[in-house]
Amino acid sequence: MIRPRFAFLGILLLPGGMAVASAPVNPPALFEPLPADRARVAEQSTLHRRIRAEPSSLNPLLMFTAVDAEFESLLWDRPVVLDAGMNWRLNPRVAVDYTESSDHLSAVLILRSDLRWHDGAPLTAEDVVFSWRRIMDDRVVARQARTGADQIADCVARGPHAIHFRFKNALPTNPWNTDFPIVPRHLYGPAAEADPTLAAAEESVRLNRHPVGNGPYRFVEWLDGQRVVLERWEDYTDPKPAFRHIIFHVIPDNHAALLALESGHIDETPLTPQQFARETDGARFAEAAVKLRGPGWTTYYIGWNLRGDAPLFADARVRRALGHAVNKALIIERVYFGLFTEATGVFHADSSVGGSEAAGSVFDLRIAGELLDEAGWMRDPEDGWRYREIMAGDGASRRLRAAFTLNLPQGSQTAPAVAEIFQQDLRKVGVDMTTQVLEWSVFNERNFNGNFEAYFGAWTSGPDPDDAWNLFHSTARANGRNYTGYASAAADELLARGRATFEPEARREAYRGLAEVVRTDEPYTFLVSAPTLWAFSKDMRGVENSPRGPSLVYPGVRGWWREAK
Amino acid sequence: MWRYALRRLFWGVPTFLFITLVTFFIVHLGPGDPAFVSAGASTGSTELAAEARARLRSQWGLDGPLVERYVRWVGRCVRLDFGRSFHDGQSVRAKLGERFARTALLALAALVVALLIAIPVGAQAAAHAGGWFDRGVGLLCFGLFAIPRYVMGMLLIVVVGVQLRWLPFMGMGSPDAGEMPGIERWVDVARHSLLIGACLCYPLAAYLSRFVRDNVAAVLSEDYIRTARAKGASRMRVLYVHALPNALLPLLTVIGLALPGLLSGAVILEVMFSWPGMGRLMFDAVMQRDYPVILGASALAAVVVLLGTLAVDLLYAAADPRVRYT
Repeated sequence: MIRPRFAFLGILLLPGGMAVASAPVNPPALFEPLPADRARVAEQSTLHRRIRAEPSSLNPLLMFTAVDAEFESLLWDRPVVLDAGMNWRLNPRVAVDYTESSDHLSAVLILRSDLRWHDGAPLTAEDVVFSWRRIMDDRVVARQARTGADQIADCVARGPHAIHFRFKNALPTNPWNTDFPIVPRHLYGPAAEADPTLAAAEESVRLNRHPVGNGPYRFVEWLDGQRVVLERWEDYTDPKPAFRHIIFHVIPDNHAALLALESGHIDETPLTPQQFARETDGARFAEAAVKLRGPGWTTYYIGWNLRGDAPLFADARVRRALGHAVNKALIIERVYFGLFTEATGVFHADSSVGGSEAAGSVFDLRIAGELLDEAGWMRDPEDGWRYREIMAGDGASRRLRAAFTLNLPQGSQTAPAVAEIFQQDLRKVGVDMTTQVLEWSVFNERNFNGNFEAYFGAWTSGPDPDDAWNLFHSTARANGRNYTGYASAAADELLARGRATFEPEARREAYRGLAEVVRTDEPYTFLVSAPTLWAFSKDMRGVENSPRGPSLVYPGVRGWWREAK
Repeated sequence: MWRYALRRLFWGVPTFLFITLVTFFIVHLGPGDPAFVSAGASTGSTELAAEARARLRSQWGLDGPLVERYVRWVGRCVRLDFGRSFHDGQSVRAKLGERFARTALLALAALVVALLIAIPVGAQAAAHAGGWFDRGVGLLCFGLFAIPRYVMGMLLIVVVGVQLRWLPFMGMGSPDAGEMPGIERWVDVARHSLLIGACLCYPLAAYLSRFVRDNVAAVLSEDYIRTARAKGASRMRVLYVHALPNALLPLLTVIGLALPGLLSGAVILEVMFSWPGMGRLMFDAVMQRDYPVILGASALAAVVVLLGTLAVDLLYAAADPRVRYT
């Protein structure tokens, strides 16, 4: 018999609880929708959420981070929403009608007549127009809000509840280009007169930290570095959300967040692949929580610099060769614990324009070697590396070694491991890769300025394939996120066609064509698609996964609930 | 003594200017553009993004010569105006005040507890030098000192916070702390600070114990101690009345050296425990290239170091009549 005073040692000998009970993944109860019988719902309970960092601002015009989006979706209601199926639709809570002209160059949006801000002031068309004008004011750094809103040529109020939009071009994306944040004119108007940037003056800063919205939750307090508290707006109905309060706890560390979930301090947290696979199989986790795993539209890739600074990548055969040297299956197994899937190219397989084929580069070092030979990068028998004679600008030729540096963002737990596997395989085909970890802001700046040879990155596809313009169109080299400097007349033409075509099948054909062109040119080597990996407290209900995760779509958190005891 | 203190304060000014000048130049010449962090590249067009960044730089006063900017910054510093954060527009003075108070609370509490442990333990170890207590304490101190604080922190979180649920390990207070009456609120803060405080305290207690032990052991071999014993003073009196006060004088210097580090915050611990202190503020400011916060925090640290070392020197003189500054 273990003496009582030594009993506590048993706690130390049970690391996280031995693997005696595995937590369920995607249990049906987690997805049970908010019941009509609200007697079952714990309507006075508090939802404790975790955020990795504080929001940058609670002014929706200035918001741009993923953390900001968590608040935006609760504090404000917009006329257009994105549902879990990644479909835009009119939000009946805010708008009653949207009608576009036959030439698609104008539209009228009709708001409900009973809309209110949290302070009781009416929400009218003037608020929408004011907000758009602020977004389009160059003095306001509306880095996220302007995307899409800049396709609107003009926006005027036609009465208290009707807004007339005039678009710059006839685009199928125009309906959701009207989806921009709305702020109360009666509060931000005077602030904007004193401070057009809405970010510098005392009053602007106060408003940015004490927002007034129109959504189901209103702001209560923001304790710097600790938490942000929202409370349910009792005047909001249709539907009324379940939780009385939502508290966002700032927990920067992933390990601390998982422990906080297991001890009941928080109700949910995203999980890293390692946490999902290795750290949530114990009894302690199983007692407290369940796991969610679902498809996501985040793709990890390696971008090659095509701007001429890296002669190695000038030839598409070399880029395809490098693509054939990536052992994705091994990377998925070893680095991502079998949880990720091979990327399917530009568009996720589940998207409206996605294809089911793999991104094209099967792992085959023999093919990689042949392509490199074909491109003139020949192996030197003495040292095993590949070389090629390159003509320099002065007319002299020099012998260049097949070598490059792959930039990795600091803070990524998996990028170095992926790079290591890739490096070993590249060595076998005679290509020398070194890695350089860069602090996040330096990493971003260098990518933006084209100051890199190759970089490890990720992007999350949006609901509309037109997002690909910003990544692949030649104008996006100096005008977007086309950091690699990719320029292809064929890709440009397909993107333009997809942007201007209204017929869904013709659009799909254009974007599938783009995917094929990009697969051939390989300005990026697509690696893996990341799923949604999340943990919730056992009593959580109403969760609905989406490619953007369980919270950043409509209804998202508004639909979560807890059973009344 | 007063002349000495005034002279030190006088020379503190150029020292402060030197520290802040070097920091200013390092921060402004280092890689990373704060305007890029805030305005980024995705405002729809690169031309607009470039304009936005240029406007921000102008708004933030980043477009003049460095020396001119430094002089302007010092001028505002004198008025205790450290400007507004690039990240969220809040007053840097307000941010620093709030965060410094939280870190100072923790640091000073950890220091006091460390001293309350180290002094008697060190003294007893010295009194029984070579014995089982001395050896045992020595082993424990070296062992504790060897454990990294973040390892101890994780252990405390897992065992005390999660498994035993004896203490909270996240943040500075409970979510409903705002509704608690005064004393209950303080108790709540105290409970939240115990685990992170323990992580700050134990390496200090371990180091100071050995320091006190060695100093007391050296003092115990002095002639006046032998005289006290010969005059019939008890062991306790010899140790705590005659030996310890003299052995503690060098401790003042050690505390003076440890204080700036303690008051700057411990980033890793603050991240692990989600403690909103100076360490996290500084770390986030560096990541965000929030120059006003970085410079404000550096200025505060410089002042703390200068005043701290002055206070220690003055205390030393007050404690030891043989020490006289001219």
